[in-house]
Amino acid sequence: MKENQLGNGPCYLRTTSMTAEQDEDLLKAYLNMAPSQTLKWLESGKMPSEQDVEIQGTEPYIVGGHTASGYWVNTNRETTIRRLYAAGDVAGGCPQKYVTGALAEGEIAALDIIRTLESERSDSTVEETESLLDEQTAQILHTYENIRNEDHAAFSIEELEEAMQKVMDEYAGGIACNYQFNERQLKLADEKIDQLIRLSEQIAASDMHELLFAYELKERLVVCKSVIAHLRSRKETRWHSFNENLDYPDTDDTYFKYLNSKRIDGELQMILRDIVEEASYEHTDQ
Amino acid sequence: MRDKLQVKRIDTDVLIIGGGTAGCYAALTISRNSNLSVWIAEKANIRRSGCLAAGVNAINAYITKGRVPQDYVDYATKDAAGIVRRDLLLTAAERFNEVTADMERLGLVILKDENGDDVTRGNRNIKINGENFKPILARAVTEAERISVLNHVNITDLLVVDNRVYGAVGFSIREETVYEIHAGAVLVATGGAAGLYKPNNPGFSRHKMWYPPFNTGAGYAMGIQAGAEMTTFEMRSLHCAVRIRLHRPEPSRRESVQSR
Ligand SMILES: Cc1cc2nc3c(=O)[nH]c(=O)nc-3n(C[C@H](O)[C@H](O)[C@H](O)COP(=O)(O)OP(=O)(O)OC[C@H]3O[C@@H](n4cnc5c(N)ncnc54)[C@H](O)[C@@H]3O)c2cc1C
Ligand SMILES: Cc1cc2nc3c(=O)[nH]c(=O)nc-3n(C[C@H](O)[C@H](O)[C@H](O)COP(=O)(O)OP(=O)(O)OC[C@H]3O[C@@H](n4cnc5c(N)ncnc54)[C@H](O)[C@@H]3O)c2cc1C
Repeated sequence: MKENQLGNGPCYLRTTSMTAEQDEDLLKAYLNMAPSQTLKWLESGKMPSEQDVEIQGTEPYIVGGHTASGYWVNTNRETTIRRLYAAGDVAGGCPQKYVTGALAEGEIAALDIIRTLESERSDSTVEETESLLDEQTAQILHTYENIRNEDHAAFSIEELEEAMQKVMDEYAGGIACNYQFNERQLKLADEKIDQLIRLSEQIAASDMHELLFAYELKERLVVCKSVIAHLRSRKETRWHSFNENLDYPDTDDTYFKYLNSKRIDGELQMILRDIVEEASYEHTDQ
Repeated sequence: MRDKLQVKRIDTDVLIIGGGTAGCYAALTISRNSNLSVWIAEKANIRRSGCLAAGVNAINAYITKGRVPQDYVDYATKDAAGIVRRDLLLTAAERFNEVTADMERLGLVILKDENGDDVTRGNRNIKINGENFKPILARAVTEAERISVLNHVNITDLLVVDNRVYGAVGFSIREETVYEIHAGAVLVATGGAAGLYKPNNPGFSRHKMWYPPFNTGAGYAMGIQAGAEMTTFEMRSLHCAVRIRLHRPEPSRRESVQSR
């Protein structure tokens, strides 16, 4: 990717030094992971050993199974909301856990859920809580119905989704800017995502499938806000080549910390936390 | 005005949001080790949903012969320039091989060499035939006791009062039905977020991305909105993908991946 950025692209994976046997192994590997790639090779009649494969960086994703992004959890995978657990790609702090890590975290969370529920199973909900829950449910239902009955939508879900992706691409370090960003761009990105959030309050869905698309857009916009806030707040470059903060090109020891965030009264608050050295971590200040 | 959505209420001990890798395995663990009732709410169908939909060809995180879990922790810590939780890495790494052995018992094929040893790919990685990883896991869930599955139900919001979760709300993608699910504990396992940034492939091929396009960050969003603390969103994930040039109909099309 760095080579592409330096203008030395396009980059190729040297596959033409491979043997016929290696060809077959590669086809099999892709059949197990991305079958259409194998079909492409077969279709073109050129095996990888006859033609170097061009490679390129993808657009950025947020994936806790590969990097450390996600819910801030204790060692048992409980989040900062009591009795809410997180496991796999949605859970943070544990990069490169991949498929076995997702299974392991599912198991760790499950065992703690069993322990908790078996020891305090009979705590019944107080009436006041029940009525608050009813209110919340009614509010959610109201939002669904509004989207289903909206008939003055100025923009389609698809148009807003495309606009969001363009903002992120061009102002928040996407492919268009070689994964680089600066403070001015990020500020603009944040403002533009806010505008799109306002527009997304008036989207329409003609059936349940479209209601799903409406929510997929809404949740992506929420995540975009957080990604931008995090990119803005780490005023250093810690992970070179795919996360270059042009205003702060060097690694800075004062940012040898976790950067966390939490929404309080509608606003994201950023929290810097010390690196955990202990073998076990519990939430203490929630 | 359309007909109003119908509301169905479910009461359960445990609600699992997202029946992917982590969600299915958590359900299985609860079924095997307790009498608690479990509901899985999955926006697609657990048989082929999430990252394992098309299969995987290796176990990327594994403790190979002669290595210990701490080696894995040290490797991942260095790779992320220190911004990791070592308690989380170690507790996960201690289970990598055990969960793999369990999947093998359920029917997953782990490749072996002539001595019967795992076929390694580097220091932390073994090869598998993983096309059917998800159907194997889903079948075990279907056969387990006290687990109910709601396929094609998309969860949108958590029910939280005084910083404690009481359940979640979502809707069916197929019927005009809303699900209000009350639970003693909730596990979010909705995977990561794809589709935030402009994808590599234009137009009709835009869903040919590396990460599953249906993992749209729902779990992150519902947590953020309910006031959960989140970490390290600034550490984004990028991948190398093979680029294939087509003559027509699209200018370029790419398939996945080499994960890191
Ligand atoms: C293409 C690809 C190849 C990979 N190759 C490998 C490999 O070779 N080796 C390896 O070890 N790892 C590999 N990985 C990583 C590994 O597969 C993942 O880290 C792991 O499977 C993630 O598990 P998860 O349970 O967090 O997410 P998933 O398994 O994706 O599960 C998330 C589930 O939640 C559902 N969902 C999402 N939103 C909602 C909602 N709102 N309501 C209800 N349900 C919802 C989704 O449909 C999905 O079923 C690969 C990943 C990808 C994408
Ligand atoms: C990368 C990838 C590779 C796949 N490879 C295979 C394969 O090799 N063999 C195989 O049998 N299946 C595979 N699948 C799964 C298969 O595509 C879906 O399960 C199937 O299309 C679902 O059809 P449906 O009629 O149930 O839903 P549809 O009516 O097609 O979809 C309804 C809506 O539900 C959601 N949805 C649908 N499918 C999924 C899903 N898998 N995850 C999350 N949300 C979803 C979407 O928002 C979609 O718009 C793959 C999926 C992915 C993401």
